[in-house]
Amino acid sequence: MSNKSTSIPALRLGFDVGRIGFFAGLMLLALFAALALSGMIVDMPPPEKMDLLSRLASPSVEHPLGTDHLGRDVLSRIVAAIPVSMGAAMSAMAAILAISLPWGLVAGLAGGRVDMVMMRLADIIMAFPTLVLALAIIGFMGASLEASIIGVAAAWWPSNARLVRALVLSASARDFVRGARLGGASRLRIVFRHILPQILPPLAVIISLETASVLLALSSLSFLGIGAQPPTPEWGAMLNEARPFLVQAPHMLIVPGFAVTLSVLAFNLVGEGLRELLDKREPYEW
Amino acid sequence: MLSIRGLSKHFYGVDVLNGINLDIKAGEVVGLIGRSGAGKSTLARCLVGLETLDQGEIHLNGSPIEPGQGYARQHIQYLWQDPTQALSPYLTARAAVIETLSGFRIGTANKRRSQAEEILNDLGLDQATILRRPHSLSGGQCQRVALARAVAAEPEVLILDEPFSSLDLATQISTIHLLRRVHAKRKPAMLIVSHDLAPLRQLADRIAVLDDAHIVEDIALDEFTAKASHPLSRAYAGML
Amino acid sequence: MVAALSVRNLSISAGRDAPLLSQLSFDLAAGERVGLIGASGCGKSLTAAALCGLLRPPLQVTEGAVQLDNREVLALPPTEWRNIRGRQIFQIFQSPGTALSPARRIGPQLTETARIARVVDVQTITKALDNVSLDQEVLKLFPYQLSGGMKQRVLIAMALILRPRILIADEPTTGLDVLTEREILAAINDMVDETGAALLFISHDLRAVREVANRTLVMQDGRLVEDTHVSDLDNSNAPAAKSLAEAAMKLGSTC
Repeated sequence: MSNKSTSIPALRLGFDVGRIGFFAGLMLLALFAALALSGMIVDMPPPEKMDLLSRLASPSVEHPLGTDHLGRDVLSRIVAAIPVSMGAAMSAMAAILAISLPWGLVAGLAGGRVDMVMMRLADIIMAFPTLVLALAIIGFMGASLEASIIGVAAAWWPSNARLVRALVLSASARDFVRGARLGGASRLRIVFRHILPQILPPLAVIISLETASVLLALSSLSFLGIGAQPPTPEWGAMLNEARPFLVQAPHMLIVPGFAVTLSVLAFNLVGEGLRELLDKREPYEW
Repeated sequence: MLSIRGLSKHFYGVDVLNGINLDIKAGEVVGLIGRSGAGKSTLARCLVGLETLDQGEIHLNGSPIEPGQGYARQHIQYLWQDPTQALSPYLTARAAVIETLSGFRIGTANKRRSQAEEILNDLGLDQATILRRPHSLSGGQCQRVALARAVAAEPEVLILDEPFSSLDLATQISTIHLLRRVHAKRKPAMLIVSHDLAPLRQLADRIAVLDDAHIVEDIALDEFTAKASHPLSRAYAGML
Repeated sequence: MVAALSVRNLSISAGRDAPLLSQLSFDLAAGERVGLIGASGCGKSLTAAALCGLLRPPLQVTEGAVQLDNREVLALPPTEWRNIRGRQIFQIFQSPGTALSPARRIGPQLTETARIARVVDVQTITKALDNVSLDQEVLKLFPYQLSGGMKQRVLIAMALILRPRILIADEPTTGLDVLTEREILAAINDMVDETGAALLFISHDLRAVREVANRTLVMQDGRLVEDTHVSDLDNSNAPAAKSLAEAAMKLGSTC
């Protein structure tokens, strides 16, 4: 089935590039996961251990990535931040999906008034500038990582719900979906056996790419000081702490900045790579 | 048994169907012919709720029905013109028929698999073929799977929308034989939409001609050549 | 007498796979009408494309020669083909929509055709439309406003204006309802009568071929398996030809 595309040289190249990107992204994510777990194998100083005598130290054998303004080991803080930063992003994404997936499914399948009402509600929330809404919720709940996760989820879910609804609408318009309905399948069966298999692959692409944006948004909020609070290790918060010491200890800024960039890149690569792969395949291959 | 009264459908101000009256008796095979774009497929689709009708009523065994809902959903089955699009790419042929049997609660749960296999085998698909998905089946095979599904529902009426149009002559003939077997075994009423009268000559009891949004001729097949009076019917008769 | 179209051992393939067309050889005399039938995928449309110089890589001619009025044409450059197409050989397709530009009205497109045919008489377009039973109003319409049958008639009108030596009709009625098919076949017959063109009518349906041609070629799996009179097909030695004849006969009966 893939013979068709590989006989045309240009497409063959595209196919490979997509694959490279996808696996590169996956490997990066695996690397982060491995690093997060490495604390169990490798001996690292605890991320919150302060050693004021060696504050703002450059990278050395003892502290491979240097120390921060309170003498804490930067490497162990970066590693400790992995489950925090990426975990927060993935939790936020899970929260978004928990709302948007059923919302979009119900609106798309029910149609008529139900669809209209549900989409108007989503539109009203979308009308707020994204970060403003998140800020409002954080203001209400008090600054914390949890509040920023909830705030971002509350601001992001409507656009996701719209996407799900659009996917559901085009999926349910296919002849075979109508055919299954006339052929006796119950509504629930239609959703799980005929509609979800159609929408999940493109949705996977969207989820990957949105996780990257969500991660960036959460890091930004922590950078502003209204997300993760000290002493929680979190990349955005570490960037914020590095600001007064830019000249003396540039490694404090570079390392978490690099971590954020790399993690966002990883999710983008996975998303774009998935999109390339899915574009080339027939539906039954998903 | 199936009674259509005053069915009308407009599309952007144009009358596609206007006051259509048509009756189909139990077990009868009616051929619906006319030019391309005349509204034959639209009429067929209205009967199963794939198109909404603007006016008119449909009665099955004397009771009014809502197309595509309840009793009618099971007992008026529809076959798409393009069977490859009408089958789910995710299900094997056998799974598709089982889906219909379970959906309409036909037979008992543990017997459905063998029932599905029997129906598919009956339509000329062997054991290996029924475990394949539509993408690895030919157009003719997909048509048989779609027919198996429709027949599994044990409907009172089978509606076939241009079943011969995309087939070459040899396949048209095997399709005719297939439909005759289905009709002989299970005796559903059939409404066959076709732009060509020739394949209907071996299947239909009656021919209805659709032209300009109306049924202009409704006559028994064996009287068609002799007694059909509308100019369009004469054109068809002249080709035989 | 020189054949209008002469094909010798034509073979086409796409890369190293098995050939799609093998050793095709036949002649078309001036003004002769010949059918070409076969199941889908047998190579009929490929032949038509090759005869009009429309083969694109990776498809290529691996062997053989095609001569139009004794002139070898396969190896000609595109500029030469532009002169040949339209006036010496013209093709009408199954989907006439793709042959007509969707952005221009019919009138300008027919005028363009007349220009290619170096026709000066303004009446030519009017007469062509009359011959195919199209109203003059059609000139003001865009292709999307015409039905399938009407678009085919426009193409036949184009053929009438061009007056090619050879007309190739590649499944022109497939997909049209039988009544419209009848009208198109009659229009093609009229056009060929009027211009004296040779006709190669390609179809999978023997019943359509019978309406326009007396002699027919039969293809199967890229090879020519029969070349005989239409009514002699059921006596053919080639199984493909025989089964096509049988199918057409059965469909025409009432048993």
